Amino acid sequence: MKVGVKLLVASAALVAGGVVAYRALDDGLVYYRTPQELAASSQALPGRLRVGGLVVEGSVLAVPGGVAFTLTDGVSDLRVVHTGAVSPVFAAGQGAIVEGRLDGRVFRSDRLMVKHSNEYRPPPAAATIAPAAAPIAPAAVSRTRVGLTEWAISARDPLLRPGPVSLEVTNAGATAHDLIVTGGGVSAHTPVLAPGQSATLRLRAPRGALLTLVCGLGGHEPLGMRGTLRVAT
Amino acid sequence: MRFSLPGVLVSVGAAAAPVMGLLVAPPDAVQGEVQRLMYVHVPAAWTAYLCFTAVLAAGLLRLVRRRPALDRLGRAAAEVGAGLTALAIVLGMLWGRPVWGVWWTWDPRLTTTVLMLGAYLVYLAVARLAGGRAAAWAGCAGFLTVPLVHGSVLWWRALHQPPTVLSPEGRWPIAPPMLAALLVSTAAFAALAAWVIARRARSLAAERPGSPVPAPRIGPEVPAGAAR
Ligand SMILES: [Cu+2]
Repeated sequence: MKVGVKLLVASAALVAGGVVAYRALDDGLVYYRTPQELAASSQALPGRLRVGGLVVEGSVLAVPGGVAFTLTDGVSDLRVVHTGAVSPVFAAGQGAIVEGRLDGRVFRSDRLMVKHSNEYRPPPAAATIAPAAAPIAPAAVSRTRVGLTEWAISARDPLLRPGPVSLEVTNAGATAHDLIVTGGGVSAHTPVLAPGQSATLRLRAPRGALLTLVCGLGGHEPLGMRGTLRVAT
Repeated sequence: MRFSLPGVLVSVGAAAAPVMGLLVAPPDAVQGEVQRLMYVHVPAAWTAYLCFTAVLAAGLLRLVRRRPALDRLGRAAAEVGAGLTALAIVLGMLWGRPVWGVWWTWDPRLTTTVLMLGAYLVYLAVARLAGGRAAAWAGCAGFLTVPLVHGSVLWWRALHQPPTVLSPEGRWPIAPPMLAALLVSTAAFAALAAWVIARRARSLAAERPGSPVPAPRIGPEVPAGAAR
């Protein structure tokens, strides 16, 4: 039984070590930050940092020695001016991670990495155009942006106005996601969104309700893709 | 001429995988022809996981039963696994330069894969220097890097894409001919690895009879020099 005891002690030590390493990686050593985290951070950020997100369609502009574009996480946008090499596969509608420093409201990057989704498919035989996001009705509806990433759901505004509401949902991640909204008699969902796709979800927000947001793709909710939206009374 | 069944399987796999990866599978819409590196990179990484699983199984059995054959099996599997891990890293770098724009970055997936290669090398060093139970323990502990590598893109933000086939949602966002090429190549890699490991374990037995741990020898055996 000596072997059994040793095995138990060793595995307990390894699990403890693993948990400590996991925490350290989770909190301190984040590989990249999101535009929303940059916008929300009140404390001083380290000089050099990485930011990741989705390159907004129509935002890419050639500049001398590089490229300028807008990165989004579906909630906050960040204007990036990159000076240096640009990978030939860099394009709007895909993920990107930049390294550099924040200069006022603009991020000055000197290293640009293209983040790829986990989707593989042959080139289309004929050009197919992705369905554009539904136009937003100009009526007095309350509207907010919801970003889907690995592995979080974030909303720009935590409080909605009662009545008709539009959620502009963007998949700023590298794998497919969707958004399911339930609570207070509400039950609505977007179609499954491919990386880079967005959709507008319209629903009627009941007074005082607490809406639950989850991603319906298997295994995503336990990984962290859940959140709530409160409706004002 | 003699044909062995494992040898035939390995040959068929080695012939089928390039046909599938280069001719049957189409190029990727976004990444183009470079994406075909996936048919070697991913099977190499998966087979490296399998080799560490073999190291773990041999190590656990070795802790219960003292069998020199298990030591040799663990060592052979680790040698093949370390080579495959290195291959996956190098191919990933070759793919990363045109597709990510960088050869290397310390993202969670890349960092943990280097850790897995380190765990293989530590195991091989312990197997060579101490062998026996110490090596078995090192193999079992080192195996923990396998779930760490797999989970790295699920638990933390990474540049490396999330899993396509081993994804938690059980949905495979990959075109069927590409998936077929990936699976055929994986089968070929796994068969080749098993074949090489079996041969290497046998050659280790021939090279050094008995266990790498000095086995207590009781009996009338006298050193050859003294017998004269
Ligand atoms: Cu999801």
